[in-house]
Amino acid sequence: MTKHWLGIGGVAAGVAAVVIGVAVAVASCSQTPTNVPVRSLQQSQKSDVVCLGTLQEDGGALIVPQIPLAQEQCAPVPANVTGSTLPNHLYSVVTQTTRGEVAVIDLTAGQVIDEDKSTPGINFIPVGGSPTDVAVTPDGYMTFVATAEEDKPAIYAIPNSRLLGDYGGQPPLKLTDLQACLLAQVPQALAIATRPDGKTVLLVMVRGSDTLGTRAGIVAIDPAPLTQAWPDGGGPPPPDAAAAERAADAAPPLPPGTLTSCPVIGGVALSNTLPASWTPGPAWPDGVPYADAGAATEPTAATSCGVGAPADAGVADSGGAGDAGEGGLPLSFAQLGSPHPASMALRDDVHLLYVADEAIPVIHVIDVSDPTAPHEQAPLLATSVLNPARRVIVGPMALSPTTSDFKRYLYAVDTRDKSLMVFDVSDPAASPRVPLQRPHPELNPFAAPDRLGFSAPIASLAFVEHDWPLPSQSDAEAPNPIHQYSGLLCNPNPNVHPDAGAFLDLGAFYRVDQAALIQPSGARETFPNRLRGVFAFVTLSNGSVVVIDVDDWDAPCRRPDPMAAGDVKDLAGVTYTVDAGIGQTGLLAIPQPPPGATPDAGQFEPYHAPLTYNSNISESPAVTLEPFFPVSAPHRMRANTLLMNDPVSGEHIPYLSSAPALFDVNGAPQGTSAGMAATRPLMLPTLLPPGWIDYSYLQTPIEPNPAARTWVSPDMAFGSCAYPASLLPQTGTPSVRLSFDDPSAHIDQDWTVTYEGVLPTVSGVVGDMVLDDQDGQTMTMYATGARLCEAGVEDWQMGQARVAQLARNLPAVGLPVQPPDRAQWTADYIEITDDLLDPSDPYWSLPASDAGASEAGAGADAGNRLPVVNDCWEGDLANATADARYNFCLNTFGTAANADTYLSRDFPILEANDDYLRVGRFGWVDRDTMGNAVAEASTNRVVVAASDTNKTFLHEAQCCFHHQAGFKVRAGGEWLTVGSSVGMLNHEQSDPRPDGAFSRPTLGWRS
Amino acid sequence: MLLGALCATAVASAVPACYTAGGGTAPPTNAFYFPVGLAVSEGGRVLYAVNSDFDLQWSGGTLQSYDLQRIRADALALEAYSITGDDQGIALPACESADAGADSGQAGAGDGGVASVDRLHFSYGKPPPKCKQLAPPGNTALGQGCAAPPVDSTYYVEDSKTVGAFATDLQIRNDRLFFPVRGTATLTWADVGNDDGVSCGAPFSLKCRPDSTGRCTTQAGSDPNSQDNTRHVTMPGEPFGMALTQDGTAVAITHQTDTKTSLLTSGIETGMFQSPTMQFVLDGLPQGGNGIAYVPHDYDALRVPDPNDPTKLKPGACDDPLQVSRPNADCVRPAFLETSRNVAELDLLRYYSDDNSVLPNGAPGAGLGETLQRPFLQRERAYTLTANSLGTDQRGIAIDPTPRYACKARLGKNPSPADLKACGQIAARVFFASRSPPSLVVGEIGELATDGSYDSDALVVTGNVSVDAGPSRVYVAPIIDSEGKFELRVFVVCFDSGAVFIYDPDDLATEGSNAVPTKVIYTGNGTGPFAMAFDPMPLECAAIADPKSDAWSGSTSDYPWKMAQCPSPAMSPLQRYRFGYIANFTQSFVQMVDLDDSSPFAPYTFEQIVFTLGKPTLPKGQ
Repeated sequence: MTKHWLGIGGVAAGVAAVVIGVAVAVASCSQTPTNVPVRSLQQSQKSDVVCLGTLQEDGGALIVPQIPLAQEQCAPVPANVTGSTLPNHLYSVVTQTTRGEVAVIDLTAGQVIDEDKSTPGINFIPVGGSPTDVAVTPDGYMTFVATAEEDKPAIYAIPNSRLLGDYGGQPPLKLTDLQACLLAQVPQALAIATRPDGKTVLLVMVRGSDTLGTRAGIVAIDPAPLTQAWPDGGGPPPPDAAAAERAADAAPPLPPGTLTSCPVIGGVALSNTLPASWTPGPAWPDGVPYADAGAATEPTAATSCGVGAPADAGVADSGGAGDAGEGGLPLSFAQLGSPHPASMALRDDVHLLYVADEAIPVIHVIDVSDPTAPHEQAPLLATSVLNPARRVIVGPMALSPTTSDFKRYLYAVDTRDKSLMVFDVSDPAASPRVPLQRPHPELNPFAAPDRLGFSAPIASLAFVEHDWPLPSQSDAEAPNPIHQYSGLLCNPNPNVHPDAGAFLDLGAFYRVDQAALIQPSGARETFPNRLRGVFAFVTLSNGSVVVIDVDDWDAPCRRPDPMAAGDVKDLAGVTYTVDAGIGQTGLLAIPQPPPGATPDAGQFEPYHAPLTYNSNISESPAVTLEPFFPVSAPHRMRANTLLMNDPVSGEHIPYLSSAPALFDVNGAPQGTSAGMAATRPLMLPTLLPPGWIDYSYLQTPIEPNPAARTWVSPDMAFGSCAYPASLLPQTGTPSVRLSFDDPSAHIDQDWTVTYEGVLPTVSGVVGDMVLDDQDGQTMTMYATGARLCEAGVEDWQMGQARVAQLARNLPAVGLPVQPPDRAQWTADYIEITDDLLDPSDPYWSLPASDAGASEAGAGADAGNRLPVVNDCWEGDLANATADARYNFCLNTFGTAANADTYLSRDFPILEANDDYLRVGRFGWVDRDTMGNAVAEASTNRVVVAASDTNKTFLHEAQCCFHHQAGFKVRAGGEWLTVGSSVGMLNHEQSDPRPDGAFSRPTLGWRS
Repeated sequence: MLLGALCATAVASAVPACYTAGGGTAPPTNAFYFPVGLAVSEGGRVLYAVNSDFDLQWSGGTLQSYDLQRIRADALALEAYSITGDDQGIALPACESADAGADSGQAGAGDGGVASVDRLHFSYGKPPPKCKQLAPPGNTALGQGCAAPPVDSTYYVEDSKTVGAFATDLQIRNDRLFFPVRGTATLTWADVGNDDGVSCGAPFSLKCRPDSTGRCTTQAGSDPNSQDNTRHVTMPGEPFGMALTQDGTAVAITHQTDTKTSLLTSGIETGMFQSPTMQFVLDGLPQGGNGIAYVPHDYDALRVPDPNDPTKLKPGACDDPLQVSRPNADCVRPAFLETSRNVAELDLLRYYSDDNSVLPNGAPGAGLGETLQRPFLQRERAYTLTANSLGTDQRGIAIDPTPRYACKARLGKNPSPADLKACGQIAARVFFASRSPPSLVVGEIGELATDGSYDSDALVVTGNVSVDAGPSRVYVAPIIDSEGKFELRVFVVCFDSGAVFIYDPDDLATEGSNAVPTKVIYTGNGTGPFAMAFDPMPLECAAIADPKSDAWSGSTSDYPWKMAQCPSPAMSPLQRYRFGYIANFTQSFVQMVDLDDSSPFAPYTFEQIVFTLGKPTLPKGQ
């Protein structure tokens, strides 16, 4: 056999395979060339790490065999250091699922290890087919691999002293070199637990099989028989007495290259029971700890001078913990099936193992305090507040490190929802057993109350604790890197840094003005990338990695300044008054309590800093000056830019690119000031409450001195109880008030505000046009399956309710209730978008009665089609020619190209349902007081509900559009706000009717 | 490089004149030539292939029928020879000898016999000695060495017809073959005889109306004035993907260089075959339509218990699942899912038969017909794809409803409407190929909405798995496991890398991006696999899995969700064989993959290429 190399295209360092063609020319079979691909990493999945002493300290000679070490002895490679020359190397062992191998990657040197340099390509350690997990023992001596090969599910043991193959100066491992044992069930995951006596146990998560009668569960396996064939393979003796003892009393070793049954020493089958009900969990911390501690008032919905908050802007209406927990929700699902474990996570602080389940909406909690006798505790419940009936399927999980407030969180993937659930598992006994909820969910209408949602499916997740440690500032210790400080909260309190040379709390070194000390090239703009604390890394299927703030130690320094409700003084005694621009920016940007006189009273507290600016060290900001607070909150996705209008990183807050303008249907701009204001609508910004401030109008966003800032329109930027003259119609500038409550509610997009705009969710729907039983007093457009309520259609009843609400609220802010007849025309309406049939179409000649249809044979063919009723042609049209009918319809309804301006194509919606819209007619007074003819216009018409006067028009519409037409829906009498990314917001609510036939008339509201 | 050149040629010549047959040499009738579509007859006795004449060497492509009985028999003989070294052949059951009757419906001489490797028409003589005696384990498996040498495919050809150049696909429904033809911008069809899978006759004859040169003229889309083409529309250029509705009454066709999708009626609705007819062209879709699949709505999911008797269904409520093109208001109208090569988006196209207007029971006008019974398509939903980093090049798509069937099978006899409804509301699994990056994207369609109602069109993409370069088509078909039960697999054909990835859909559904292929079949260097076909087995039966179970053999009255009886082992060879067929475009041959893990030879043959039909031939100039 001769192998001909055609070339190597490269070696992939990721999961993507690089397929290299190799022609294998078999002399006797040259007609059937077969492909022998040579690859590097391919279909990598699970991994673990091991630290090996690889090179001699002096001179860098290779150590043979390599020495397993504690992982801590493989420190990260410092910047500007060549990792390959370091003595200790950290290696990652990675399963290669397609080829049944384990790859070894030198993380310290940054290269993939070729186990067998004598064979072309990058070669790895063979194990059984379909490796599902890999785990390294705590002492670093062994690597265990679980494989799910059909008919041969097994555990393979690899001595880490042989991990590098001939790259490490030893013969490459063959499959027959490995000790292995056969499992009775297919393993999916592997973990290594420690017994009370110090011995280790392999915990294997195995699948069940209804066919074979096996149950899913956790199996405990004694690893000792798998580790006794060494060190005759070259490994050094066990490092300590305990290990030696383990080796001494272990069971006889399993011969390498054989597959005998694994020594099972315990196990537990997973339960498939569920509690009968559940109660939604509490909220996770909102990032305003000083409010939680009672030092300030908890945030509430903003009120505006007596005007009630919007119906769904309050906490109580949010579906949050406050109103979801009453009485409990049922937890029952049909066809639940047997447990099907998906992933598992072993805790390192208490003896618990979490097992996610794909078939039952739970995360099993297994007590492994004695891993040889695991037993199941009450599970965590994978529930959904938005849809309690949904059976949640749990995927990958990860456990957080302990946060600075001594919390541990379990993140679990909701695989069908592209989202994460957050469980608080700090106290295994007392912590809630359902997902935590988002605090103040009313501030972000895009997010589920108990989920972290993503744009793409989640492939994997992991937690990281990271810091930029503070070098010792003591002359005696500097520059010894051993003396570093970690885990410090950034402290912007001016009392801890009263002047340029004083740092009374080490947290002051993490202020914005000290960024360069902490991080090379550090600056205010690098704060988003300065990861200090606990973060979750979520890898999406599209290759994106999303960072989640869990416990950001820089959070106190990402804020506006001041955070006060009234006048404040700095350390130098300079007073900054409200008139200069002090106020609350958002609902959670609660004024911070002043620092006390003593440390116990909060003298140095990071969150007792209503003003961080200190004129003693002017132009030296302590905080980022971002207008939002909190910017960094627990379980919130982290932005990679500052959330502000920054001259370096750009504008990253919501803003108006230009003032709202009014255009007519032809796109011509319409004036709305002076005399025009009486007849043309003017978009007014929402009134800002007193004590609040809108940073949208700040001209100097990075000016640290509050007194030196300038505002483009102070009367619009500062809150007040009445509309200032500059905002009122005829004199004011149209504008929109933007929310600074929750940065995650904003999406980088453009908004379009259109009077009587088109609902983007309904455009193009086709409906069957059916006249009612009263000979056409109304007409119904049937569009079965169009889910019109979900699309946001609102009928006349809803429009009238809106007008009534407006009439109640406008006087409270000094605005007139105009026009008085608004309720008569505020209703969504359909606009028919179809063209008439072609004038040559045979439809126009169809007879107007059943009898005629039968005689003509049109509309009822010889097959099984039903007869056509086309009696909507009335009067002269009943017996008119095709041309006459067509021309009449063309004159009445025009063409599709002019649909927007042909008002006869509009039909007000009297009743909206998921599957149909019942419509009437628009009417208008066609004569003015002088008797002059008045044409129909969008500004002079009213809704005509069921009426004899509708019959003729609705008959004509039905016939002209051959009983069926495509249509779109416009928001009649209202402004419609549509985002370029999120589209239209619509809060739909269910209102099922007793018969269940046609449910859900709209009760929601729109933006 | 070859493909790029040919594609360039095709694009450059995308004018009708370049595609017309004109003169030229007639295509070879008994050889594969850039095969692009395979189909197996309903009874499993005939393999149909459509060849595209991609380099325009001939005056057209061909539609061919192959004797699949003999092919399988010879494949089994070769397996036995290769593994045991025994070239005396193996005993074959009735109807499977080389002389089995064709089209006659009579047993003829096909009453059993022996298939011997001696009679195989290898292109290069008998298999070499070293390919014998594959046992014991560790020796070269079939397909990976030299145990599946090319066999002269002309020996198995039964019929052939000349058709237009550049066909793109081939599907069979109700004894009618459908294939889009880019060269003529038509849906071309041919009728074949019935294959009941029981009698020995085989429908080899291809019935299409020939012109004076023998070329099939049975095509729809090119004549705007054809009968029943009430809109007088013609098919846009470059038709590519094709899907039929669940009842086979309508066909949707994508267009790979356009923003349009064509709709045709298939002509098989009434039982008296009529001609397929062009009906509608839907515009406004993403440029570059490619794959398309019918969305298998489950009407049990939509049924409503009778409020007067919960053990029964509400009268008239979605009560005739067979009439899927004419659902009433409580049902969901048929729909298609379409992929695009240029936009990261899937589109749901709703099919309106425009026949027997769908109005709610009791509504004014309910049951009355529309004034013009003209079917049309409507783009009702667009699902933006975010699962892949680029994601703008989606190809083949397949939808798997078997989780619903499997659930129903577990209910036993006479299930309650409520249980059937719960099973019917299980999501169908969606698989589609993406080339940016090379991956199989996994999702589900049909789920409970947030308010607890059932949304049959809700699409959720749950993840992806990487595959080798150039994934194009995706198929869902069963294999037989080592216990003789059926299991479903997803087959991803990777054209550029010459590979077929096989996944267990259960793994894809539950493990997402962590799923591992059960097998990767490499078809050979530069071979370019394109289309696949499989021995027939209704998906409902495959979902039941166990041929010995009551649900398999039970009547449709006891198991009302079964559309028909599952094939009986005693009566039908349907389940005896489980092969997959791979049409290799670039080198013009077909490979057989053994998908039976219960056979004695399975350790050497399962999911291996075991038979090669035709000599792999590089295109001219290569």
